[in-house]
Amino acid sequence: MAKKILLIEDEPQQIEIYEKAVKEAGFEIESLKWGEEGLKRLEEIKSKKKEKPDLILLDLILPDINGIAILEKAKLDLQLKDIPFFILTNYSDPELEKTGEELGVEKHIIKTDVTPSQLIKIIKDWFKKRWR
Amino acid sequence: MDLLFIISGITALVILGLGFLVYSRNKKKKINQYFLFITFSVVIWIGGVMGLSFLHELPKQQALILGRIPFLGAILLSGLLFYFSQIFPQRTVLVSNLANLLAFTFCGIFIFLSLFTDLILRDIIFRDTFPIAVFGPLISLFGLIFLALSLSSIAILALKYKNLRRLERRQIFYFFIGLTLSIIGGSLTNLILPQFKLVVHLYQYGPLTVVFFIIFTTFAITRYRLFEIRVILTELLVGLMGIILVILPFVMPTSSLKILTGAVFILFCIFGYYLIKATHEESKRREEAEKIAVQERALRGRAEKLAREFERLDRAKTQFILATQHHLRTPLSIVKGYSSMLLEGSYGKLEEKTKRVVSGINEAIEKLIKLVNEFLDISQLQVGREILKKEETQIEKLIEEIIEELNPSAKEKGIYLKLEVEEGLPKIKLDRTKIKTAIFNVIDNGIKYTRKGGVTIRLKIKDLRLKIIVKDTGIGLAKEEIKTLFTEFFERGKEAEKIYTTGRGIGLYVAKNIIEAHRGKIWGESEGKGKGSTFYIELPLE
Repeated sequence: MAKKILLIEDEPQQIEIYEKAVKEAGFEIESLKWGEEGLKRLEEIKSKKKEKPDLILLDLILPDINGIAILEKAKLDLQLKDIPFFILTNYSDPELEKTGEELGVEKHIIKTDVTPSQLIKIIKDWFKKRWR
Repeated sequence: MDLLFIISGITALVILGLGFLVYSRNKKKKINQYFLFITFSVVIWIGGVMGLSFLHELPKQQALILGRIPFLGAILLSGLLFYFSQIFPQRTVLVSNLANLLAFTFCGIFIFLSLFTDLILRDIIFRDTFPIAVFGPLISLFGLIFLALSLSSIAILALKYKNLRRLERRQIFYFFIGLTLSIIGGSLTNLILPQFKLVVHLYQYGPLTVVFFIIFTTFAITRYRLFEIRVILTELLVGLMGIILVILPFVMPTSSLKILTGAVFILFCIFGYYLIKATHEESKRREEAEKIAVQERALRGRAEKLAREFERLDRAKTQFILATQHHLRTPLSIVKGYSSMLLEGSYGKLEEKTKRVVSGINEAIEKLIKLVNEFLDISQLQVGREILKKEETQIEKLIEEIIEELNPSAKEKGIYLKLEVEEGLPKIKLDRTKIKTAIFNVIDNGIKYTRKGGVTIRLKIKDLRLKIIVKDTGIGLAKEEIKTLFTEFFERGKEAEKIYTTGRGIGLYVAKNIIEAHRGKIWGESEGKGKGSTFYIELPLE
């Protein structure tokens, strides 16, 4: 069964690029544009209304809230903390990165550092390692 | 008796002169005004005491009135001193308003009592021509109040002493000594001992005790700038002494004494001239020094303010860059995403021609991303952020990667790129990405400024430090250039501009920031223009 990826990202063009690349790689992808939507989704997952994704790609700078808030909500909840997160952002702050690490983020990726296909490779490698 | 009379008169004149001198120095200052009033009261007392010698020639009633004048002087003096001690040299609250009111009320009452009633001085009888006081019933209370006020004044000065600056302490110390000696002397001769009626003419010596006050106050004025009348007082003293000395030769009995005193006068004139001149100059110097000190303080204050403002602006600039990094990178990551996907055929197969164009876009965007990353790194390093992510790194591998990336541009120019590695280099802990950027920039720089020959990179360990030596056969560096090589505003020389017109100029500055964040050192050397340059990077092994 195809892996399900949830992208939380506000930039439409960025969404278009990542959706296209992820789909081409054979994964399923859904995008949420607002931080509040992300929080709501976590609630829905918790109450079993929605399915748990296999990976969340999380942008940190969202129009309404800081991505870290979503990460905190998930990682401090027993039912949600096993959802893996990649931070995918253009904001590099060593302290924020440390916070992410402490909360148990799998990877912290700067968008300009990777092309979409490089990102797909990272995701594939990570899935392979995780399910081996 | 005549001599005593003359000396008393001179004493009165001198102290009055001193009072006016202090007053004229600054008429608005309270201390100066009250000092003058004090000298008035002293003069009243001295005059009164001097007058006692003529009482026997007067009718009884007049003699009694005149005989009461010294009492007026004494009680006035004690009251004024009590107030003066509170305002001198500055007013610091030590005495309550009630105590002051009480003190001055008593003063007023006793001035009245001593002048117009028999309660203090009842009568005067004469032994030969010397007057002997017959005291009234309140004389003990009078003495008590006089002493209480005088001693309180001394106590107030003593209490203030420890909180004063050094100079003021000296001023107050000598003023205090003079005052104490005079009060003790005056009280003994004119108030306490007369009670026992042992020596009838002792009162005459009272005014002499004021000399203590004059001498010590004058010393405080000339030596420690009390009342700030030192210059004029010095001039006056020299002048007075000169007048005395110029008269002496005329009154001397023998010609040899006349000559001697004349010579002394001439010597004194010379000495006096230099003394006055020196006092003037010193006072002027001091005033200038004070003025300069004030200016300097103001300037320093302004400089500090500017420095703080500059620091604030610099920080704000850096914070701005950090805060906007997201905005800088977002369009870049989008262009990078689209162009790479175009190249990879996600949007359909590209014609060869189009592919070349998109590759060009791709390369340019990578350069721009690298530049933005470097800017951000520098900004973070500059605000003192710990941004290094250190990991065990095989340094020669890192450099091989760089060479691989740079080889195309070297080949294009027809120059070589060589790596010479010492055997058995250990792994070293550093931020791989950032150190790579730093070394990349240095080698890239070497390639840019080399037309013929090439760039050799050597790695070795020395004194627990890793040395990376990047030697090129390029255009070399002038001495002045070496100094500015690693600064933010490095402007390349004319020669460099000819060879590489689109260089960024900040590559080495970036390298320096990264190397220094690793507690390393970077510097450049060159034999001169056209003789190639060598760059050294030193990193601690840890």
